[in-house]
Amino acid sequence: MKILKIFILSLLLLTGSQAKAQFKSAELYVSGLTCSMCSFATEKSLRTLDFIDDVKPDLNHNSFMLTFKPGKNVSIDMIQAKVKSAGFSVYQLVTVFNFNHVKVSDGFHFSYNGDLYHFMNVNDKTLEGDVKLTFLDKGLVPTDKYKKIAKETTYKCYNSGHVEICCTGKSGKQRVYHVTI
Amino acid sequence: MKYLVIFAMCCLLVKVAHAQELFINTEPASNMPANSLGLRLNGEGFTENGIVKSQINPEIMFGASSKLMLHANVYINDWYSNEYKIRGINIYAKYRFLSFDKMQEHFRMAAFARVSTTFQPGYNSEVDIEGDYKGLNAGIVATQLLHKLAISSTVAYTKILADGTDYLKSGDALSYTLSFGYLLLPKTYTGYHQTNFNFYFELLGKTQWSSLNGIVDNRQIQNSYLDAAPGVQFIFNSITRLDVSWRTQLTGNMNRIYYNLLLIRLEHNIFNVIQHK
Repeated sequence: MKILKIFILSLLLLTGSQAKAQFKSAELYVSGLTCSMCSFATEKSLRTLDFIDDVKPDLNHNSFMLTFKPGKNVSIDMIQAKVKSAGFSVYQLVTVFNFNHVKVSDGFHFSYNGDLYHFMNVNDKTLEGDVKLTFLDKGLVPTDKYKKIAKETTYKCYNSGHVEICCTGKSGKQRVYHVTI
Repeated sequence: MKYLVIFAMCCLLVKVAHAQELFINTEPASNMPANSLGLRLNGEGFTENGIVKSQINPEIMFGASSKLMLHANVYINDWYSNEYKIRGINIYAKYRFLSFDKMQEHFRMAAFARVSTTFQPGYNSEVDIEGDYKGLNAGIVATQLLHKLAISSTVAYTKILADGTDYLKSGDALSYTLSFGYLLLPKTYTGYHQTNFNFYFELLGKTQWSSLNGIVDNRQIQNSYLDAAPGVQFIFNSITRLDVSWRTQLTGNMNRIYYNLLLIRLEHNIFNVIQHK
C-alpha cells in the first residue's frame, strides 16, 4: 500500500500536479504605448474578458494591474490577444498564483484550467501562498528575449507552446505556458 | 531661409522628449484598436478674394482587426459654386504589416489604399481624390516612436479617372509627407481624465503630371508644391480629439484652389463596438 502511495505521488510529480489554487492578479507591462488614449484603448479591450474584475493603469509606466474574479478561469492567451487587438504587445506579465504547499523544481509542471504550466530556471523549493510567476512564452516577452530563450533551452515545449515528449513523454495539443519565479 | 527655419524646427522637435503620433494632416502607421469606431467631423476653410470657402467632411473609421482599419468620407463644400454640394465620397483602408514594439518605443509600417467617386464634375487643377476626382491612391507609411518622439513619413501615388466633363483629362501624382509631433501636457499622467495637449509640425508635398480636357496635343503638365502644416491637438478624457491646423504653401508652381487652409477636426472614439464571446 505504501509503495502504491509513493508510486501515485511520483506519477503526479512527473506528469504534472493539479494545483487547487488559482491566479489572483497580474501585473501587465505593455510595449508600444505612449499616450493615455492608447492605454485607454488597451484597458477597454482587457475589460471585455469575463475573468477580469478590475484594471488599474499606471500611465507613466505603461502597465496595468489586473485583478481576476475569484472562481473564474484565467486565460493568459486571451490577455495577450486583447493587448494585440488594441494594437500593442505584451512586454512582461507577472501573475500572482496562490500555491498550497507545492514542491517545485526546474522542469516541474502543474496544471490549471486544462493547461500545463512549466517552471523554468528555478531551484528546488516549496511554494506556499501567493507567489509571483513571470511568463516567458512567445508573445508574453519581447521578441528578442523569446528568441534568446528559445535558442538556449532544451525544452522542446518552449518553442512549440504545446505539450511535448519533455513534458509528459508524448507530444500533444495541450497548451504549455512557461513560467519562472 | 524658409528651409533653414523648417530644418531648425525639425531638429528642435527631435530633441523634445514627448511626442504623439496622432497626426492631423496624415495618418500614422499605427491603427485604431480592433472593434473600435471613430467618428470625425472635419471642417476646412480658406478665403478666395475675401470670400470664405469651406468644406464639411464627416468621416467614419473602424478597426476591423488589430492590423486593418477602414475609413469612409463624404465631402460637402461650396468651393466651386455659391451653394454647398456633396462633391464626392471615398473609402480608405490601411493595413499594418510591420510592427517592432519596445517599452515606450515602436517602429511600424503600413500600406494603404483609397478609392473615390464624385457626384460633380472635377474643377480642380490639382490631382486630388478627396472630393475632387474619381480615382485611386495607394502608398506606404512608416512611423517611428523613440521614447515619446514621433516621426512619420508617407509616400503615395494617386491616379485620377477623369472623363470629358472634368477639367483634367488625366492626372497622376506622387505625394510625400514628413510629420513630427510631441506631447506638451500633461508632464506626468495621473489619469485618463487629463487633457492632453500636443503640438505637430508636418511637411506635405506633391508632384503631379496632368493633362487638360480641350487641349488637342495631350500635353502633360508637371508641377508641384510643398506645404507646412503646424497644428495643435487636445485630447479629452483619452477618447475625444480636437485638432486645429494651419496649412500654408512654402513653395510651388501649381495652380491651386487654396494656398492656405484652416482645418478644424472633432473626433470621438467608441471602443468594443462588436463584442466577441
